[in-house]
Amino acid sequence: MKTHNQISEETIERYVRHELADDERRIFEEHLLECPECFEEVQLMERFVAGVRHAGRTGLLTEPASDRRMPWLMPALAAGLAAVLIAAGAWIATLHRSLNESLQARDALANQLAQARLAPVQPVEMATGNLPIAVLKADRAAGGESILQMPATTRAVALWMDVEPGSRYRTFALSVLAEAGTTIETLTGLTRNSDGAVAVILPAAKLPAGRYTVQLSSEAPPRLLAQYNLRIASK
Amino acid sequence: MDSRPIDATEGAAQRDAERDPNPDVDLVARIQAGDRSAEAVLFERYGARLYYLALSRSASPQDAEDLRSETLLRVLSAIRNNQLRSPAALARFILRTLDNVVLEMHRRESQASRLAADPRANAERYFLDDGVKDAIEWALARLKPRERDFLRMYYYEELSKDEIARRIGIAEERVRLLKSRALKSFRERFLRGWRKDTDTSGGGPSL
Repeated sequence: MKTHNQISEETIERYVRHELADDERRIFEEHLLECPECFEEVQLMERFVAGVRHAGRTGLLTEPASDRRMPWLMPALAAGLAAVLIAAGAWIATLHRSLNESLQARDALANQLAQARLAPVQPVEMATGNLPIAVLKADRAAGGESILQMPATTRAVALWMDVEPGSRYRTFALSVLAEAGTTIETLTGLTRNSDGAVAVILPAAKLPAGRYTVQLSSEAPPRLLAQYNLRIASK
Repeated sequence: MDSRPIDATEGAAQRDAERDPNPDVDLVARIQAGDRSAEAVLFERYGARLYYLALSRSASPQDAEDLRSETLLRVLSAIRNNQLRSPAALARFILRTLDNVVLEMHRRESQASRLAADPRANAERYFLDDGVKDAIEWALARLKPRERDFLRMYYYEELSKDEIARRIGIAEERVRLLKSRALKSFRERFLRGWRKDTDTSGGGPSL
């Protein structure tokens, strides 16, 4: 009779997949009746195999054709997105200048009003001229992370997550967790944009420099679709 | 009777007892001496594992439940009547009794119902729950597309390793590493969810 330490993961998998010969199977089952540790391992392997087979049936293991045939698409999308952001940044900078001019005019007017003993108008919040964006990818190796350099003046950050084309889910929820596991932000009712991605903008104040876990789930049925590691670094 | 599989939930006391070289010898002696609590220990020790083995030999969870009950009753009866020759080989006796009960059940059933039996689908229905789905999606999200291709071909399409190697060129030594890594991610996530569930309920899942 083999001891627990002599039973390999390979043997357990072959048993679960019904690949052991009859005599091997019988010996293993005798051991299984006597060994709670091996029984637990077999139960876990059964669950793992059942889960992978279910994922295969429901298409979770099938990569979209676009990913296979157009590996350049993701970098191209990211480059396109960067171009859009640069243009948006330039536009916002123009607005910024215009707003500055308006503010100067307003300050001058406020001074005049103060002199006339009227209460000055409170300064308005200015829009930021840049928007750091993190394109999150779920297929990183364990431990991989997206790093987002964030200038101190940034007031908002954007997170961009691609959703598998043809996905049956319509609405999504996003949770941001701190390294300690506490939930910082939860957004619900998210839908895909015209590029098929889920994109959100979060206040920078909620994301000080540090490590975060971002979870994207479907809402109906509620199911975790992807989890990303994000690191915010101060510039 | 609730027929969920046993998990990492068995008490430490029971586990310690089972590490004893011959815990069944004492158990058999107590049953033969008329100790009713020892009979409960027999059911507790072997019930879940026997149900799992019965599941792989039957067409439905209900059949597996019947097989388990009938097997345990016969084993108990044999012990009470001193028909068990080697108490230290109780596990072997239980397995042989189970196979006899299975054979008798198959003789009673029609050929059609036997053909309907699909132990693998049976086990999949039994083990697949929301916790498993969540953990597997979590684990798959950590793999590269080519690694997910491998898992699909190996576990779902059930292609041979040679065929998989031909299609996606994944080396044999990498296969074992990939499977272990995916299983490790799955284990961490599943057990974390399981612990959270048990913390909330204040106790471990039942059989």
